[in-house]
Amino acid sequence: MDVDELIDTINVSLEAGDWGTVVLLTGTLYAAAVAIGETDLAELVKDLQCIAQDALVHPGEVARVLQP
Amino acid sequence: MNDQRAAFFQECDANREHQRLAGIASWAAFSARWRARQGLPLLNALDVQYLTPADFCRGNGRPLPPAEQRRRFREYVQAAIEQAAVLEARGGVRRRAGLLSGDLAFVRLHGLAYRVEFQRDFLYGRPDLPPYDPANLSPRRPYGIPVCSPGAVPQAYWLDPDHAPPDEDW
Repeated sequence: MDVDELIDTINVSLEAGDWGTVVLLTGTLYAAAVAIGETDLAELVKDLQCIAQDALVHPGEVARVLQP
Repeated sequence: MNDQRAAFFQECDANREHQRLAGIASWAAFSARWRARQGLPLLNALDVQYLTPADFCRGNGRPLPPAEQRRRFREYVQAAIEQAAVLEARGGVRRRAGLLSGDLAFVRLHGLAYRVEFQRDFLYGRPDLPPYDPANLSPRRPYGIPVCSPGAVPQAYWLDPDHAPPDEDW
């Protein structure tokens, strides 16, 4: 999967709230972004991975934030 | 008027590149809020566009005093304006006809450029001092605690406390 495909897939997972997949794919995308020299994008992706990991560890907080 | 807006949004929805840029802009917004609420520096001063003064917190997640929040917000905004001006001067900001919404976001996105640049965690020596000077005999960390991954490090934006204006209450 190339970088563009990864970005699209991650966005679909984000919209679905599939944090496990987001954590997995952001790791792959981070490595891919670093490999092609997209360092700014790589750091954004790394933040996103940390956020997704937080969401996995604190599902109660996520539910509170998503509360209407 | 509403028809025009609807047509504009449909045009944006149908534009794949626009959608991708919007997606990455949302990532930048995630990053900015996550960082501000943990007391971390923003990856880019332009990311302040996604924040309000109330988002700035201490490292423990508790809000900073309101005056400090406003001061920090103003400093980021000032840095963002200066950075945008530099990008504009370099011809790095491209604005497109028909894509006016989120215009400021595109400034940040066009800053996502290829940059093969290695930043060291330590600076060895000061060029203005002789090699035997004590300051040149031990490595110094230049910008405080690094928060980005080693090896692929765009410089995080740090506010310089030496140039911060005095606290004020308003």
